[in-house]
Amino acid sequence: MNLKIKVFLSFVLALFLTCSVFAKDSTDYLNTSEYNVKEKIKSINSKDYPDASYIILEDVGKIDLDKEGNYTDVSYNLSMILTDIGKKIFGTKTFSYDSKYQNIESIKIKIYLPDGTVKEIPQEDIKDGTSAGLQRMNIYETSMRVKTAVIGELPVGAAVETVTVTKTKRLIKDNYLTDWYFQLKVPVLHSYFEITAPTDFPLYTKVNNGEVKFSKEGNSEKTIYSWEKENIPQIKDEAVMPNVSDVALSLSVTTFKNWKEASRYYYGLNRDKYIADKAIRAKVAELIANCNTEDEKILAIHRFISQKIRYMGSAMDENAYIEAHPAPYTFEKGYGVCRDKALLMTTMMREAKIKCCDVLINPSTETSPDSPTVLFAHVVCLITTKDKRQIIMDPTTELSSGLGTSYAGERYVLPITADGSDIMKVPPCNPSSNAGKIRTKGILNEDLALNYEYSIDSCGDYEMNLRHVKQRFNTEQFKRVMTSVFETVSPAIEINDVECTDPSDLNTPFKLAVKATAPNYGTKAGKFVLVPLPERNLPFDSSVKKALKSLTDSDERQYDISLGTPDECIIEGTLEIPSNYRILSLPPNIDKKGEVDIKCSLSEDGKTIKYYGRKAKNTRYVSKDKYQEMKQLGIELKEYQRYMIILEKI
Amino acid sequence: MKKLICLFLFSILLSATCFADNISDLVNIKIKNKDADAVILYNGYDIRINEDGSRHSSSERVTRILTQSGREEHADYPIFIDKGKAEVHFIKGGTYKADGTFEPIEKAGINDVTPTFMANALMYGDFINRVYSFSSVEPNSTLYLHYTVDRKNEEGYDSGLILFETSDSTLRKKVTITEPANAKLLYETNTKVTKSGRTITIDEKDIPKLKSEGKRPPTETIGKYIIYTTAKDWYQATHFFKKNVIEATDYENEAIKNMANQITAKCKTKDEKIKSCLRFINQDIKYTPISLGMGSYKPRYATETLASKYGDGKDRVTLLKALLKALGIDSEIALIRNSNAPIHKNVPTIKQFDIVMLAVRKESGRWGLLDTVNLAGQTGYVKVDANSEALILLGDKCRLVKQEPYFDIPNSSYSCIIAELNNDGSADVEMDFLEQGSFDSSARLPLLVNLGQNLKKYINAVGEAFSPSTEIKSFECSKIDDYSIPVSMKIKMKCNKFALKQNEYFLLNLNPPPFKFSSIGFDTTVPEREYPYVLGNNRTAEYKYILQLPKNLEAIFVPESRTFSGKFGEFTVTSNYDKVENKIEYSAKTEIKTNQISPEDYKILKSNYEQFTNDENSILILKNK
Repeated sequence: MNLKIKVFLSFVLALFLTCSVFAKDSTDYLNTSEYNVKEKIKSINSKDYPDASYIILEDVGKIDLDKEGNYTDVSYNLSMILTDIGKKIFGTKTFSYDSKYQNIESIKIKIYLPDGTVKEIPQEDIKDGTSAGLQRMNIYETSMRVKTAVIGELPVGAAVETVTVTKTKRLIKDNYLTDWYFQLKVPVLHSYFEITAPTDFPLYTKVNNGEVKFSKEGNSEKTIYSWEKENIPQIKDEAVMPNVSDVALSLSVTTFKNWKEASRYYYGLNRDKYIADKAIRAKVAELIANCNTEDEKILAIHRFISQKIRYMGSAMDENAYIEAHPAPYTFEKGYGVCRDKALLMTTMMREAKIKCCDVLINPSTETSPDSPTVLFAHVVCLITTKDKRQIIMDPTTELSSGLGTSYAGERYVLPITADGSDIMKVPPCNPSSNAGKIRTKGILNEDLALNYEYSIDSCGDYEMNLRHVKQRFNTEQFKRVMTSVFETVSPAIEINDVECTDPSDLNTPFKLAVKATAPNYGTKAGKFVLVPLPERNLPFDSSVKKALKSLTDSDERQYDISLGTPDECIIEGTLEIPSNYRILSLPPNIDKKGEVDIKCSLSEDGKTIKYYGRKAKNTRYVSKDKYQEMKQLGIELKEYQRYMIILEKI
Repeated sequence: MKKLICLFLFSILLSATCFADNISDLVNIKIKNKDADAVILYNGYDIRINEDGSRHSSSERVTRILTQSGREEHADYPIFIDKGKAEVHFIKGGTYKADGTFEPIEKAGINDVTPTFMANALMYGDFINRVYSFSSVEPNSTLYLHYTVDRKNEEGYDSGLILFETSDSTLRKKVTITEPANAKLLYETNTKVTKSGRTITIDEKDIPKLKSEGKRPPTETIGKYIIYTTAKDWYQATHFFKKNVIEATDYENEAIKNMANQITAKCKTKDEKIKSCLRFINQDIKYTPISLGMGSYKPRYATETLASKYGDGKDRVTLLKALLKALGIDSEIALIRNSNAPIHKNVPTIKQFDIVMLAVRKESGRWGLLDTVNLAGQTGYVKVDANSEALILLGDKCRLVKQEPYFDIPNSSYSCIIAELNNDGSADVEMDFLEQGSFDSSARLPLLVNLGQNLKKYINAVGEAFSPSTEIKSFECSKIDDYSIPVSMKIKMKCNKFALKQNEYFLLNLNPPPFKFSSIGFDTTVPEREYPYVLGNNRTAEYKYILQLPKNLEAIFVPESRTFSGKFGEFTVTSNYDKVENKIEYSAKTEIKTNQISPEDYKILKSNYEQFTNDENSILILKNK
C-alpha cells in the first residue's frame, strides 16, 4: 500500500473515529434514527427475561440547569413489551407535572410494531387532567396534573419510544434537587443521566445501593455531569420487602451543601407566617386554661389542630410549591395540608410558651443522611419540653391521644429553624409504647357452643389505628364489622354486644369490648371433641404474624425484611371446658426471641385452659441473613393455626 | 318528641314560604340523632326541560354536620359534569357556623378536577368533577349550596332517575319537573306526585337513610324514586344511537375486511369466527372504561378503533359488528342494565342502560349476547342475569328479550385433590383444577400477572395453604394467554405436614383449595337483613379429595354426607370412608341457583352456610390402628 493511500486511510479512520465519538457525544434523542431503534429491538431475546413483563432498552434523562434552578429536561425512553401483562401496562403512558412551574413542551411517542411498521401517537390522543391519587387525599390542587397518552393495545414484541421536553421554573429558589433511579422493577439495559449546570453552581451527588460510571467535564462556564449504567437487573418483588426506592440503584442530586442550609432555606419560606393573631391567641388561652402541666398543654393544642383543622389541600399561589399558608389563614379556614397544620401548631405551641418547630419527615421511606434536601413527604412538629424530652407530634393524626408518634421511630427528621439544623434520627420506638393488650374469656358449654368475651386496651399508634377503625362506622355498622372480623374465631360467630368508648374522645383511653357466642364451636368426633383455640387468630393482634406468614414462599431472599413500626401485642385468655370432659391434648407451645418475639403458651388449671401470648416486633428491619429463621417462624405460626384442643368425654 | 315538633313546624314553614328565606330557621333546627354523621335538612331539585331536549336545573342543598365523619363526607361536594355538554353556575354556597355566622366558599375552594373513577378511562376528555370545598366545617355547622346546571342532550330528549334515599337521612327532598310545550313527560314513581299544568312535584319528608348493607340491590328497588323521560317511545329513545352505530360500522373498508379475514383464517364454522373476532377485540383492543351515555352516544368508526387499538364499550361493539358483517354475520345492538334493577318499560330512555353488547341469532332462533368487555376471561363468556332482560334494537322496533349468552359456557370451578398419606402425616399430593366462566376470569389474571419465575412463587403459596412446608414437584397449566380455553392446572407436591400430628392423633381439615377465585364468598355478617341479598350469577364450585391412608392409620372420625338447601341453591357434603381400601372420598359443592333472595331466605342461607363451613363437615381424625 503506497504512502498516499496509507495517509488517506489513516485520515479516514481518524475521521471515522472522531465522527463516532462526535456521534456519541451529540446523541440527539429528539431525533433518533428509526433504523437504530429497530436494530436495538431486534437484538432482544425475550427468553433472556423470563420474569419481566417488559424491559427498558434505554432510559435517558438530560437536564440543562441554570443558576436559579430553572431547567429544561429532555427524557428518552425505549421499552419493549414481553408479555400480555406488559401489553396492559403500555396501553397508556402518563406524564405528571405541576402547571404552575412546568410546561411539557412536547411529547412524542412512537410505536415500533413487530412487523416493522412505525407509527406515531397523534397529539390529540394525549389528554390532560388532574391527579386522581391526590384527590383521594382531599387535595384539589388543580395545578398538579397528568398528561395521559392513549397508546392502545400493542402486541407482544412491540416497542414504545417516548421523548419529552419539559421546561421547569425553579421549584426551590436558587437550588436544584432530583433523584434518578437506574434500577426499577423491570430490567434496564442502559440508563444514562446527565446534568449540564453552570460551573459556579456546584452539585452534590450521591449514588445509592451500588456503583455507576461517572464523568464530569467542563469549562469555566458549564460543567457536564453524567452517570451511566448498563444491564441493570430488575428488582423482584419479595414479601414484606423495603420500599423499592430504598433498595434501588439510584442517584441523589442536591445543591444544598449541608442539612443546615436546607433547614434555613425551608425556614425562609415560612418565616413570616408564624403569626399568632388575636383569634389564635384567644384560642390558645382557651385551650390551655385548665391545663396544669406542660404535657397537658401540648395535648390540648395538638388535639385542636388534629381534630378541628380538616386535612384538605386547595390551590395556592405561584411560588408556593412547598410553602405553607400563614397560620391565621389556616386557623380561619379550618383546613390545610400537613405543612399548614404543622405551621399553625408550631405557632400555637409557641404562643403557649412551648418550644416547638416544624420538622420534615419521610414516614414510610428511608431518608439518605448524605443528601440534603427539603423535599420530604410530610411535615410534623418537634417539641422540646422543659425537662428536655424531644417529642414528635403529627398534626394530621386526628385520633392520636398520647404524646409522640410511633411511626417516627428510627426515621430521620429535619428540624426547621432560623439558624438551620442538622438532620436528626428519632430514637427507635419501644414496642411497649405501641402496644395492644387483649383479654379473653371463653366458656365452652355442654352443647359445644362457645360464649366469648374479648376486650382490648392499647397505646401509641396501635390505639390510634383502633380508633380509626371505630370512627369509620356508626354503632350498627360497627357491630357488623365486628362480626366480620371475629369470623376468624368462628365463621358462625354472633356478636351479642359491643361496647366501645368514643373514638374521638381523646381524653378517655380507647377500649373495645365484645361479647359473642359461636354455636357448634367444638366438633364432636365420637367421644372426642375438637376445639379450635380461639386465640389462634384474634382480630387486632400484632401485624407481625401476618408479616411472618407471608415469608414462607421463597427459598432465599435478596432484600431485608421490612416489618414496619415496632409494636407488641399481649393476649391473656382463659377457656373453661364442660365439666364432663377432660383435656386430652393441647397445641404445643412456641417461644422465640430476637428481632421478633413470639410466645404462645397454654397450660391447664383444672377445667380451665389458660393462654398467654406475646408477639412483638422489636425492630423495623430484619436482615435478609436471618431469613431462614424468620421463615421457619412463619411456618410454625401457620401450623399453629391448625392445632386443636382435643377433649375427651369422661 | 321535641324533634317531631321541630320537624312538624319546619314542614309548615317550608311549605308556606320560599325556601331561600328560611335558611336561618334551618340553621337553628336542633338535630338529635345519635347515630348520624350528618342530616340533609333540605334538598331541592328543580328541572325545566326545553323543547330541544336540553335542560335547566337548579339544586339547593342544606346539610347539618353532626360528627367529624360527617365533615369528611360532606365538606367537599363534587358535581360530575361533561364540560362539552353542561355548564355549572355557582349561585351561593358556604358554611353557617354554630355561632350563626356565614363563611362563604372561597375561590380557592372551587376546583375542577378529573373524577377519580375516570383515572383509568384513558381519555379524560371533558369529564370533570367541580368540587366545592366548604371551610370552617365542624359538628353543628350547616352547609349550604345552591347551583344551576344547563345541559344539552344529544338524544334530543331529557330523562333521568332521581333517588330519594341516600346514606344520610333527609328531612325534606322536593323535586319539580316541568315538561316542555312540545312533549309529554312520561314517568314512573313510587312516591306521591302532584301535578299542576306542565309541572309535577314530589315533596318527600323524613326520608330515612339507606342502611349500609353489603350485596344489596340497586337503590331504586328498595327506596323511593322517580324515573322520567320526554321521549315518546322506545324508537325515539334509541334510534339516534342505533343510527350512530350503523354509520360507524364501516365494514366495507379494506382494513376491516382484511383484519376479519386475517383473524378468522383458520376458522371453519360461524361460531369459530365469532369467537375469533371476540378474542381479537377483548385482547387486542385496549378497553376504555366509560359507561354508555358518558361522553356521548356516538361511537368512533370501526376503522378508527381498529387503527388506534383502543375503545370504550360502544366502540368495541361497533368494531365487532363491522368485523362480523365483513364475514357475512349479521348482528344487532343489545342494551343492558348492569344491575339487578328492572327495566322500566313505560319510561323509554336510553339512560336506563349502561352496557352495550351485540346480539346474534343462535341456531335456536333466540338472540345470544356477545360481550366485548371480557378482558381476562374465557372468550365468549358473558355475565348474564337470567332473570333480567336485554333491549335489542331491531330496525324501527325494539324488543325486550331474556338475557342469554351466545356461547353456553358453564360458570363453574372444579378442583380435585388426590393425596397419598404417609405414616408421618406427610403426603404426596396431586391437585387439578378447572375454572370456567366467571371463575376463569378470576383465575386467569393472577396467573397472567405472575408468569415467569413469579409463577413458581405463586404456586408455592398455593402449596403452603395445605401445609406450610410443602415442596412443589411439578406444575403444568393451560396456556394462560389462550383465552379460548378455560384455565386449568395440575400441581404435584410433597406436603410435609399434610395431616398434623397431635399426640397420637392426626388431624386433617379437608379445606377448599386456597384460591380466592374458586370461592363463592358470602357476606353473612348480619343476623338479619333489611334488604334483599344479591347473590350474583348462577354458578357452581366443587372440590373433591381422594385420600389414601397408610396401612397403620385409620379414620376414627369422618364427616357425614349432608345437604343444606334453600332458595339460594344448595350446599352439599359427600363423604365416604372405604375401610377395606382404607380410602376416603370427600367432596363439598356449592351451587347458586338464583340471582337474589329475600331477607327471610337470607336467614336460611346464613344458617346453612355456617353449618356447611363448620369443622364437623370437613375435619378428619386419624389414629394408629
